[in-house]
Formats: sequence, C-alpha cells, structure tokens
Amino acid sequence: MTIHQTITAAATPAEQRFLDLYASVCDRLPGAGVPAVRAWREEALDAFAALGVPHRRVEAWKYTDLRALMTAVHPLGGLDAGARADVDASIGRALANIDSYRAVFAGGKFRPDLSTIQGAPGISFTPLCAKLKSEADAAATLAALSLPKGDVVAALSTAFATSGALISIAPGKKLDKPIHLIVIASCEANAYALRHAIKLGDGAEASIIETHVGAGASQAWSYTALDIGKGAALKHARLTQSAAALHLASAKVTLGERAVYEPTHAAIGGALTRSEGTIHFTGPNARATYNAAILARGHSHVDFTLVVDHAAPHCESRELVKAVLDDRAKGVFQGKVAVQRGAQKTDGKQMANALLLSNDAEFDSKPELEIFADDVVCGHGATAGQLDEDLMFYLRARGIPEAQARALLIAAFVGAALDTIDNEGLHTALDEKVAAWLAAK
Amino acid sequence: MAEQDTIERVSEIDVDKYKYGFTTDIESVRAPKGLSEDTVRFISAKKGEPEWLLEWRLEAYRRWRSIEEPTWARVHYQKIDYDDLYYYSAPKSAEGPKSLADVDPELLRTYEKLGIPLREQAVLAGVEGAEITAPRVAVDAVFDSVSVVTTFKEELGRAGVIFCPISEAVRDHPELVRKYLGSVVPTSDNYFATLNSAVYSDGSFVYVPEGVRCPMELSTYFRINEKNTGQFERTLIIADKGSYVSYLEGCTAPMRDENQLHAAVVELIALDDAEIKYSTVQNWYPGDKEGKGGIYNFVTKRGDCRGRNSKISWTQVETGSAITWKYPSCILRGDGSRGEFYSIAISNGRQQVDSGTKMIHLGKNTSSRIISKGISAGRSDNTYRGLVSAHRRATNARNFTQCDSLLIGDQCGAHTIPYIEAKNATAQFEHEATTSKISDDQLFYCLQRGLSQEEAVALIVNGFVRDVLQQLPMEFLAETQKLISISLEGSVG
Repeated sequence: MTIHQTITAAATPAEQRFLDLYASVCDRLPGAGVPAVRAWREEALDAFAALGVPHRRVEAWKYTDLRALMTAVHPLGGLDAGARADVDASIGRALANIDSYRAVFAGGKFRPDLSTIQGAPGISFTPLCAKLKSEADAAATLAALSLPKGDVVAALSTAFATSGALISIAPGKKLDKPIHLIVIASCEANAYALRHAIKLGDGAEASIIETHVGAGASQAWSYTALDIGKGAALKHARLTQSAAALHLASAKVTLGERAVYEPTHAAIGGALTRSEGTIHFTGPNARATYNAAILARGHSHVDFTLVVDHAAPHCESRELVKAVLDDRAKGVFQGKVAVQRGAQKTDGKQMANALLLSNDAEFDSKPELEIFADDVVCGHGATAGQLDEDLMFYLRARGIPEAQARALLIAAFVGAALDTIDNEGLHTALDEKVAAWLAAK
Repeated sequence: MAEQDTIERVSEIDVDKYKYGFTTDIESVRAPKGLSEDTVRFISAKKGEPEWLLEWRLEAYRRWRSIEEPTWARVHYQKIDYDDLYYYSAPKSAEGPKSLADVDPELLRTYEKLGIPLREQAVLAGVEGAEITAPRVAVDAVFDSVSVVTTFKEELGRAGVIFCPISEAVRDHPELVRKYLGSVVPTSDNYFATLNSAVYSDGSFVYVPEGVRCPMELSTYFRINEKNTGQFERTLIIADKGSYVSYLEGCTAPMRDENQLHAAVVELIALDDAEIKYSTVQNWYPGDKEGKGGIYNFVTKRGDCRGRNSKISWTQVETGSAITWKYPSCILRGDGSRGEFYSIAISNGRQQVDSGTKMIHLGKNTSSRIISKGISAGRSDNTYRGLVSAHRRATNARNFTQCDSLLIGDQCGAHTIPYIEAKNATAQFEHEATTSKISDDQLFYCLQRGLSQEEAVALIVNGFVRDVLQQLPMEFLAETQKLISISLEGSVG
C-alpha cells in the first residue's frame, strides 16, 4: 500500500542525470561482477526510469517538487577507499556518547573501526556490500531485498547502494542497549546511497537510534525495510540533521501480530529532507505510535510523508507531528491512514500542529483518511498558527525576557513529540539539539 | 412524530425508492447529436446570442478539444462518449418568450408532481387561512436545456431584483452578463467547466441591486427529462453592495438505464457587505441497486467574495447522482470576507461521491468555516476532498473545518482528503475529522425505548447531520429529513 502513483515519462534531463550516473559507476559498484547483483540493481533502475523524478503533479510529491528542488546529482561516493570521519565532530558528543552497539557508515561505506556492533549478543550484523561478493551469497541476500512498487527513493537507493546495514535480532532477544546506526555523508560534493534491512524476530525487543548527518551540500538517499515479528517491540528514534544537505529516505515497516512499533523522528534543517514511510499492519492487536518534530529555518524544506496501512483488524495507530518553521522554511506533512476492508476495530488517530514563526514560512498538510471498514474509530486533526500571544504575555509578566519566553514555548511545543523518548542519553542529546537550534537564531 | 412519519413514508416506497423517476411525454426540439463547432453555433443561434458570446463559447470549445478529462477524483466510470450526446433539448412548446399562462399544461403537471409551486396565485392564496403566511419562493424552472417559466418576476422587479433565465439576461442586461460571466469560473478553469462554457444552454441569472434585501427566496428547479441528453446549465448570481439573497436549487431526473451527464457551472459574486446564501438539495437519479443508470453530476460551483466584508455560504444536501464530483468553493478576496460550507453527502447502493470545498484566503481578516458530514452505506464510496489555503498577504486568516464520516455496513468506503496550506504566520487553521459507525450504545438506547432498528438509525443519522440541517432554509428542512431516511433505506441490517 503506497500513495505513489505510477507516472510514465520520457527521460527528461532530471532522469537522465541519474541514468548517466549509473552508467558511469555501474562497473565499480559493489558486486559489479556478480550477475545477480547487476540484475537486482538494473531492475531498480528500470523502476526508477519508469517512475521518473517526481514533480508536483505527482500527488505524493505535490508539496515537494523534486524535479525543481534537485537540479544536480553529485558523483556517487563510497566507491573508493574510506574517507576520514570523526563521529564526535559529525554528530555531536552527546549523541556519540550514548552507550550503544554502534554501526557507523561514513562516506557510503561501513566503518568497522568506528563500530561496535560486530559480535554483539543476539544481533546478527552484516554490511550489505559483504554479501554482494559471490553469486551464492548475493542470491540468498537479495531474494529478501525486494523492491517496493512505485517508490522512487527505494529504487534509487537500490540501484546505487554502496552498502547498508543488514541487522537481524534473534527471536525473544531483549537487547540491553540500543543499536546506534550512524550515517555520515562525509563529502559535500558526493551523493550516497544505502539500503538497510532490519528484522526483529518474534518476541524480540530492541531500540534503534539512527543519526543522519550530511556535510555541506551532500546528497543522501536511503531505503530501509523493517520487519517486526509477532509480539516484538521496537523503539526507533531517527534524527536527520544538516545545514545544506539533501536527504531522501524511504522506509517500509511491517508489523506482525501484537507487535509494537514506536518511532520518533526529528529533522533539524537540511536544504531538502524528504522522509517517507509506510507502516503496514499484517496481524491483529499491533500498535504503532509515530512522533515527529520538524525544526526548520532559512530555505529549508522538510517533508514527512507517512502511510499507515491497517490491513489487519484490532490495531491501533497514533501520529503526532510538530513543526516549527521560521524564515522561508517550508514544512510538509502528508499522513494517510488507510483501513482495508475487514480491518474492523481499527483505532487510528493523527494530529499535525505547525507553529509559523515568520510570515514567509509555509506549512502544508494533507491528513488523509481512506476507510473501507465500518467498525472503526479514526480521526485526524491539523492546526497551523503562530505563537500564542497570551502565553507570551504570561511569561513576560513573570519577568522572563522575550527571547527566552519564546524559546521556552517553542521547546515545549516540540517537546510534545520528543518526550516519549525514554533513553535518557538520547533525550538529553535531542534537547540540546533543540536548544542549540533555538539559540542559533 | 417526525420520525414516525419518515418510517411510514419509507415503508410506502418500493425497493426502487426514487420517487421522481417518471418521465414526461412531451415533444422536444434537439440539437443534432454530437459535439462540434456547429453544435455550439446551433445553441448560440437558438438563444439569439450576440457575437461576443458566440466567440466566447467557441473559444471554450476549442480549448476543451485540446484538454484531457481529469482522473484525480476517487470515482470510476466508463469513459463518456461526448459525441454520443445531445447537447440541446427543449420542449417544443417552450420555445420563445412566455408567461405562466403559455406554459404547456403537461410541463405544469410535471412540476406539480415534483412538488414545485409554479402557480403564483396558488401559493399566494394558499389553501386555508394559515397558509397565507407560508414563505413565498420565486422559481425558475429549467426543463432539459431551457427555462420554461420564472415566477414572481414582476414583484421582484419592483424591488429592483433581476431574476430570469440567463439567456434572457444576455438579451436584456448584456452589460451585467458581459461583466461577470466567466469572471469567477473562467472558460479555462477545468475540463467540465470548459465544456459547460461551450455548450451551456440555460440557467438562472440573479442580480440584486445595492442595498436590497431580496424580498423572497429565489430558487431554480432543474429537471432532466430527455434521453441521451446532457444538461449544462449556467447560473450567475451577483449581489451588489450591501445586498442579501438566499437561493435554493433542486434537481431530479427520470430513471433511465443509461448514464446522463450534468455539467453545470455556478458563479456567485458578492460585492462589499453583500451576502449570498446558496442551498442545494441534489436528488438526481442515483441509478439502481446494481449501479445501472444514474446521473453523472460533474459540477463547478464557486463564489467570489469580491467586496469588503462580503459573505458567501454554501449549503448542500447531496443524496442523488450515480457520481458526484463537486466542490463549491469560496475565494475570499475582499478584506474581512467570510465563506461557509455546510454539506451532507449521502451515498448508498453503488453511488460514488467525491465532494468538498475550497476556501482560498486572499484578503486580510478573512474567515471560513467548513462542516461536512458524509454518510456511506451499501457499496458506495464517499470522499470529502477539500482545500484551505492562506496566501502570504492574507493576514489573520481563520479557518475551522470539521469533517465527520459515518459508515453504515462493511462494504462501503469513507475517505477524507483535506489539503491545508498555510503561507502566513498569522493564519490560524484548525481541522478536525472523524470516522465512525453508528455507536452500538446509541442504537441500544433507542431500541430499548421501543424504536425499531430503522427508526433508530433515522433518528441517529438526523442527529449526526443536525449541524448542517440547521443551515437549510425552512422550506427544505422537512423534505431533506425525509430524503435522508429514504436514501439510507435498505442499508441497515
């Protein structure tokens, strides 16, 4: 279930740039000599060519005209020797210090020297590129890495993937500390493509933190397939932070019966951040709670697009999006709750609130309900407005200076989406990021 | 008891409960089948239109030939063969200018059967004393492609209100028509509006002069009778400074196995401090239980709050049509202008509804309110699609939107697709939507008090749509409540 529509287009310059890029790197990509890998990539490239670079006439990209916003494609990174990377400097000490099983991808390559996930108990971890070396390995791995239909970002991520994290958590295993996936787009003149696949066995419990940072005007596109087994539980925090970088991410999450999925997603800045996802319920009594925060100023453009697909009865979904937009920033939230025929007793709620701090900021939302079952409770709400003058007055009357009062109110507004994070280190680190963003004005 | 009345009425009606499905046997004049420049010229000549209007139509026609039929709406239908339709059909007797006395008695009987009062005297005199105070309504009766009669013209004329078929307005008030026609919905607006601009045949024209409060409700009653014809009417309402007008629109069609096209355009213009209230009870033939036949209702309705502090309010009750594709909208251009949209959309059987509104805030201190109630039953699909946008200069724009959907049965669908675009920090938008079924508790409560299942559902549904019903003019209210119950008949249990 996706909200993409098939578009057919001849290769315009926008598509041609990607096709040319592929032609120039296809012999140097991991697994270039393995026919199965090549076929896998080229199938994805064909899918991309058929879909084209999405533009505003494509409904799912109505508010993010990629054809207009992405006028150049950088050379692909991650093909040569690993670049230098400093995790502390890239993601900040607070985040880097979180006690975790760490998997670092810098410059499109897995960095064993910076990672600690290898050999962690109950976790099977392999970088994707390691599986692309032989025909036998590749055949077994790629069979499980199918391409979702109509997903441009997944198609690009697959065609150009230089690596990615393949993580599998054993059934019943409860991880003692989070997995921290750190992705650093280290060279600003490059584009990076990663494809991840994460699987939680039945009854497993885990927490995953993803931190994505991009240097300068780097470009990154990634696709993550996340499979949560029966009765398994996953907390999934995701932070995208850059000044001028472009991030295109797509994720497809599948929940088994009784599974619990709690994603928290924060985007701070970025020339263009588009994060789309599908949460797909396949068994009854599962639950998903999605929280998201957008902090954007300057000419940032942040687009969160989420489809919650209730294909099974008795499931519950909650979505909360908080967007703070300043200067000429543009925030987008497209949330669709789909209830399939027979998915009775579905309980779906969605709320998007935007705070506009400048007259040039823009928030576009499209909270969509698509319902084919009658015994359901579904609702959505959306608001947009400026800071409440009464609240400001209250704080000012208590002697709090204007700037501080404003920061306090904004932090509280965003906090509603971030407060569900129970990892203390992460919570503190995110609070610091929000405070730093507020102070930077 | 009103509910009891409803139940009795429902039980009187057979499985096919559409009560306006009869045909009127009347000789008519038609344009040759198909659509070409000649068809456009034929219609224009029939109406005795000036050259500029013919040119306007032809330009629309040429544009229409070059554009594609839109497919974005959540409706599915077989491709319409536009060359297999008649674009003009008029009762032979209705040609040329006429007064009530000249109208074919067969036509009068038709409207009588539909419950539309065309005889001024009858309404004025009433039956018994109590009836004298009954509200009077001026009616423009449109039969297929022409207006057959317009009542109360003289009395309205004394107040300065112009209420006549648009073809007559072109002749008698060309300056007004030329100034406002196409100024809200341009010929290039969308596929169906462009088609309408090329071939529209009749419709109502209203002009309320400065400072006048229209002395009675105005209404138009649309009736499609002829086979294989499309109805393309055009309504233009202008409320000059400080005036007020309330306008009602009703529509029905015979039961036929084929699908018939109705592509209308309605343009409203409110100048400074003026108010227009536009109410529709749409009851086109919805097709039979298996989805055979029924009207394709592809309508463009838009109001332009052009003046300061002007107000346009749309109220619609949508129960008919096989397919509805309709988004009555408000352009809030004047500072301090207000737009309202109240809608009840009911779908049953195999009906498909894709309806909603657009509130486009351009002026300062503009506000809008949207209340939409969708009820789907049977195997129908009911979509609310709406846009609320505030432009950069629309400081202090306000919107409140509430969309509720009710599902009856597990084979239908209810969808909500709102677009909310805030480009201004001072804009304050609130949007709320819910989807639910009739709660078991409410049903139990009613059943326990001795109501039957059908009575209970009728009661609860009437409660669900109450917010919108309250916006309807009194004349429509009772009828609408019954209509709601009838539309949902057979959907319970």
